[in-house]
Amino acid sequence: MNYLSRIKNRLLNKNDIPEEIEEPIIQDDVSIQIATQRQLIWRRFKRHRLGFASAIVVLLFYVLVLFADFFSTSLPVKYGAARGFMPPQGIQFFEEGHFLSVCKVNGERDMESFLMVHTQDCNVRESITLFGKGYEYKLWGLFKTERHLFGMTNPDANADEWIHIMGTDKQGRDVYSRLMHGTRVSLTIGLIGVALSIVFGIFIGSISGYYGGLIDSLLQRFIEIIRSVPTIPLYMGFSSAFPEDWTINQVYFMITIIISLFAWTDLARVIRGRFLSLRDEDFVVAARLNGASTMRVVFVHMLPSFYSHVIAQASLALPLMIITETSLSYLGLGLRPPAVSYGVLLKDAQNVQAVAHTPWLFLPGVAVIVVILALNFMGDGIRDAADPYQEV
Amino acid sequence: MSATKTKNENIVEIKNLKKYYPITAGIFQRVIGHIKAVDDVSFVIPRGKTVGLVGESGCGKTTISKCILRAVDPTSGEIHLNTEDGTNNVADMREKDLRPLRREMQMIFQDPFSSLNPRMNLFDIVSEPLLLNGIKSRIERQDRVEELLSKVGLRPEYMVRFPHAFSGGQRQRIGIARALALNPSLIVCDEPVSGLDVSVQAQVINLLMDLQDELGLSYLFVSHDLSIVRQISDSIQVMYLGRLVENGTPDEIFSSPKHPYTEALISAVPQADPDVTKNHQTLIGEIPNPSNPPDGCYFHPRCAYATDECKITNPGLTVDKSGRSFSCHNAKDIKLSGLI
Amino acid sequence: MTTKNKLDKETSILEVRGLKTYFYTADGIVRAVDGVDLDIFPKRTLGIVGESGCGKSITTKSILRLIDHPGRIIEGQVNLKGDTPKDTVDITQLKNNGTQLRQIRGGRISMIFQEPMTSFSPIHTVGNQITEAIRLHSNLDKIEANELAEDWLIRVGMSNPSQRLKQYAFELSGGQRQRAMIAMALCTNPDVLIADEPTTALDVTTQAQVLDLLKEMQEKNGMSIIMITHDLGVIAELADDVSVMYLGKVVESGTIRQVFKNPKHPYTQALLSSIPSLATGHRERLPILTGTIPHPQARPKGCPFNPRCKDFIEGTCEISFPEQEIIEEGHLVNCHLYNK
Repeated sequence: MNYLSRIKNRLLNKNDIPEEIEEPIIQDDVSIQIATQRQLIWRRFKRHRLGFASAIVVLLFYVLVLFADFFSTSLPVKYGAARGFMPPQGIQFFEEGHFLSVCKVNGERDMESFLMVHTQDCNVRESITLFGKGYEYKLWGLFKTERHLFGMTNPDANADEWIHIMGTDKQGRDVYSRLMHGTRVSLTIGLIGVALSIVFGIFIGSISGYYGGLIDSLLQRFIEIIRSVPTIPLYMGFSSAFPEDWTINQVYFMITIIISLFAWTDLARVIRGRFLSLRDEDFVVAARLNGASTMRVVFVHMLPSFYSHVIAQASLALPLMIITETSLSYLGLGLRPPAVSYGVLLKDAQNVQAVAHTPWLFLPGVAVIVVILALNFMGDGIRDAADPYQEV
Repeated sequence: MSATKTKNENIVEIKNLKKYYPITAGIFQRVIGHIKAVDDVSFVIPRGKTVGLVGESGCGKTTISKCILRAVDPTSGEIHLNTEDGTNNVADMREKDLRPLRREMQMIFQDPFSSLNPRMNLFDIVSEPLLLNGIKSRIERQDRVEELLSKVGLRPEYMVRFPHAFSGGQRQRIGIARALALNPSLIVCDEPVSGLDVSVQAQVINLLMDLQDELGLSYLFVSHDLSIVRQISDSIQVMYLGRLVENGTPDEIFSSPKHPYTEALISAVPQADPDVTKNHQTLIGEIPNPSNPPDGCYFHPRCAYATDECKITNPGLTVDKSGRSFSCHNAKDIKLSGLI
Repeated sequence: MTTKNKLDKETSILEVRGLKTYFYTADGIVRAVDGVDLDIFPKRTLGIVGESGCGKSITTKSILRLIDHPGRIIEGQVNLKGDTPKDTVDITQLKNNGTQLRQIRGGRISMIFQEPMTSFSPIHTVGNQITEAIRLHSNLDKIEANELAEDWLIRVGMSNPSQRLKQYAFELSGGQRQRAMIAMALCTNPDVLIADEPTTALDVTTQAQVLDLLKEMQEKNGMSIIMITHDLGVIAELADDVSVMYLGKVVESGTIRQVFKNPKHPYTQALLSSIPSLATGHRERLPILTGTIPHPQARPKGCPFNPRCKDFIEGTCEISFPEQEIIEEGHLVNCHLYNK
């Protein structure tokens, strides 16, 4: 900082130093004193161990979202009746000279129960390469590649016939790959939904809180009306209104919009409350008395207090979005096959047979629980770290 | 407005200032009454002097300071601000006409913890008034901030630090530096030391007095602490429930108060000297609810000297020969004692 | 160990010896109370005075064992005397939340707080809470307890006592709430009343009423009072003895006359001279105490006051904490200036 060195020079020349020089209250730790609010919050957040660990878990999930195809071993829609209801098959280490390999699985239909019964035949074995080749896909829709985390060494062997880490479902589709793709869909719907509701929430909430009075009353009544609409019948109505010929993607997009149209109200109310209290804070009054425009007061003085609260609120709203999508799709009102999401996956587990014979179909449920808990704890951590007047 | 050749000796003249807050009820918010936060108050602030505004909760002193600065709009009355460019009635000017005048009057707040934006460093905080009033050049602002911080006794290199690094007393100094940025003529100090430790209060009060001598500032010093008001003020206005009950110099008020409330207030202030004997007049009752004040003289239910007249008519402001004003029917007849 | 101050006092009813309460926070150890000795005598009021961070509140909370994680009383004794020397109880050794401790809390030692609003439960009536206190410490039944509660409300000067019993705390004004809190604290006839800044949040005139009430109650009931405040005037008016604390240690103690008229410790001297008094001239600059109160984790070595002391002796004051010296009987000071 160049002006700092100028100041130091001036002080060395001893100009204009008044007699009573103040000392900072924390003698040693200058880094705390020049730390910005953001840096302070980050420090506090790091100390909240559960929140920080959860943030890492959430980050890992979003890595899966970005690289869903990379982590998958087969296309989620690739089916094969002969591989139906295969239990999870492990990958073996260091067998027969291969670092990683997998055994052949033979499936036969039991003639009494009509269930597929699978047996492992470890005499027939194929090797797996890390970062090997598999089906072709476009990374992020841009780059064509065939690289996957697990690929077959033998170019004639198909990963979708050999690797089933989490088993298969009724049609023989690989559960693990479907879980990867389901994660992508469920977590992005959540993100887009939260982003939209943040925009709506901040906009409406700040107008309501800043102006108060009649505008505030009207907007609050509007919010209450929205909140009192029963959502399930509404969703049912909406989803039956979708034209039959819409693609999965279009349906997916519309569902996102619909969910966020109802989810912004919580954020709006929180923001409105904060605006109402911040409006009378002394430093806001001081800025207004100095002639600050409304825009400046809102964007420079008031909104920055919200960043951490908005992030905390968003990370708590995200699980809500995920659960909403999961529940809707589970009920058949949201995404439907051949689209893949947590809800669609859990729908396959929606029967007694799953509980009794094919419990691995519940694994998407575990994923839902983990990601939602992680988001909740992370949100708690951010919220606890965000109080601006606490000492470090 | 006329631009007089010789500067008007008063920087602010307040005439018949009223601020009423409506009380509403029902779905349609019908107005059923008023809280008379400020009820026909008039006084002046002489240039370069300090006027102390003293009173307890509900007396309206904070509302008056907000009206002067136009943080709230007065219900009626005039507030004349006499600057070098002439006289303006601040009370009813439009916001955009008011903007250039805001440079002349600044405020220091009570709570050192909420008066500074915790997300801005000292440079941003102290230079904001400069930025908002046309001084865009960063170098110019840095120079000015250095100057201001030194004036209030803080090292200029602190300008990169954030408010959370400073104690209450230091934060008040930062607030003072901010208030001085535009060279105002009037500073309204709203309980500036009430939230500070005792030993720090003296530092800030000394600083305010030094700055006043150096820069010729005028202060409106609002406080409930009589001892400090007595030390710093050139004249004191005593308020009760929105009305002015008495004014005078500190000596006059403390040695010969003319209003029973003033007498009670003085005797209620604890003195840190075991040898002081006081006329122990503990007041009975409580401060009435501002939305439902007593009839006549507001003070009569608690007044030891109340007569029948006091219950019916509001005593206006009487000005006696020496120039002191007070609001009491019986001032001539009663003998009040201040500090001995 | 303290030498006993006799004068005309009986033996103490409560004594604190070497009390240390530390807080083990994520940022380090905060030595809130660092070796404090106090003596409380029957029918006398001890004022504990000091600024923020001196540990006065934590000291009294330690007496009642109200310290929660991450704080702990790590050392010291709090001896509550009984009818015979054998009945002396060391409160620090009692089982946490055990029967004996609960009998003492509210029974032999009561406490009133600064903010009466938060001391009352918002969902119980005032009468409920007072009768609860009575019945916890006596064998009275509901009706008798109710009568006693009403009796106490009359004694504390509450208007409409029978009506007040049925009201909730938020329906009362600030002064009334404090009176109700005093009634609740005194209805069990405690030996010691701890008052933690009881009047700081009140208006000056209401404060005078509450202080008068406390004096009156002390005369009638004969209890001792420990009064914590930063307001030296309140101490001078109400207290008989005073202990001055700084950063967790007692630096000077004695009767009001001794300490206020003849202060020996530089901190006491600075504190007394930094508040405006009757002797202060108009706009006189008060001598100030340089520097600020250090951060709790950055406590200076040796005597904690040494960085700010005008009488700092190099080589001594920053090395060791001074031993206690007797100035005259009853007047004790911890300062190297008086080392014999």
